[in-house]
Amino acid sequence: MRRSIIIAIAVITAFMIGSCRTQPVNIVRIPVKSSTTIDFLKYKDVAYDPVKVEKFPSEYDPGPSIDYFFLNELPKMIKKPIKRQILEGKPVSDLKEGELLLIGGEISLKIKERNVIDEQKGKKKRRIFVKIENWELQLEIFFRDAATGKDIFSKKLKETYNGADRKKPDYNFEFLFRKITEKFVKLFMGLGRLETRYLMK
Amino acid sequence: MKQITLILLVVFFLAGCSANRVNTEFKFGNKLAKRGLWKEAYYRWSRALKDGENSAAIHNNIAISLEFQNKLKEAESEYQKALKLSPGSEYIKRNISRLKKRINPDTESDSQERKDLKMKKGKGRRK
Repeated sequence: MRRSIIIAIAVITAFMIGSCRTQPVNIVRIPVKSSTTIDFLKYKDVAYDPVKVEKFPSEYDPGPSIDYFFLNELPKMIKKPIKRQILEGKPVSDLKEGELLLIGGEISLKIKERNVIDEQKGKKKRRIFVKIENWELQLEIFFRDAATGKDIFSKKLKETYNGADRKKPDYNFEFLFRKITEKFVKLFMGLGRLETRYLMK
Repeated sequence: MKQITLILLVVFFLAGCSANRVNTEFKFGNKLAKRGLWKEAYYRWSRALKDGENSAAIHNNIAISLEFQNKLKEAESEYQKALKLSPGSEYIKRNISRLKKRINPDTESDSQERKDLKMKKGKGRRK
């Protein structure tokens, strides 16, 4: 009898201790800088070699938006003027290393059409098929020393926009292009992001 | 005899106080860290370390504060000290792999570690 009471007390105590046990860590977030930063000050000049546009629908030309970003918005971020220079990524032999930083790359778009059911509300509920588009934009950018032809930074990024309105290609492209360029800027400017760590109690 | 007992009591009391102070410094450091005051937390944990507390938790937390200050090499050495004191700690291992990924972004250490963990779990289930 006494033995069973002791066992019962031991089991209850074990359960109580078990329930009181908390996680031995706290999850904290620390700001970290991206390590892939580019020292733009090292270069005398920065040039933009127009990004190659691949697989875009013929009725839409993304060129002006892309050029505007590289020639007007990016110079403000890197605090250095960027000139337009068509080199097609090829090295320039009469330049010295560190003289010219070349920015270029490739952009491509995939559009998949889908039929979805759209419920129209009114006196009579009607179900109709509507065509929507799923957009996938891929951008590959390189930062290259024009003298050596060596890439100091290159990255390929992808962004998708599902359920895009096919009547608004300008909006769809701008939406995706903004998202993708924001990611790029964060990467090569070394802007902060948060990372989790386990702080032990 | 009475004097010796009294001295022993005082010694025990002081030792108890010192251990308590170390623990307080450590906990206070944690509180500061949770509020984002990493430099102050670092100071508290360093004091706890100087007072003789040499635990994996202190070294791990010091390493995080060093990471916050962008002192990555020092942080790595502190993590290693923590791992030596507590070799089985998955939390320390994850912190180390994230730091390594930060130092060298091309390493796949974190994902590799996840795969290892999954494999371990899988093996456990089969048993």
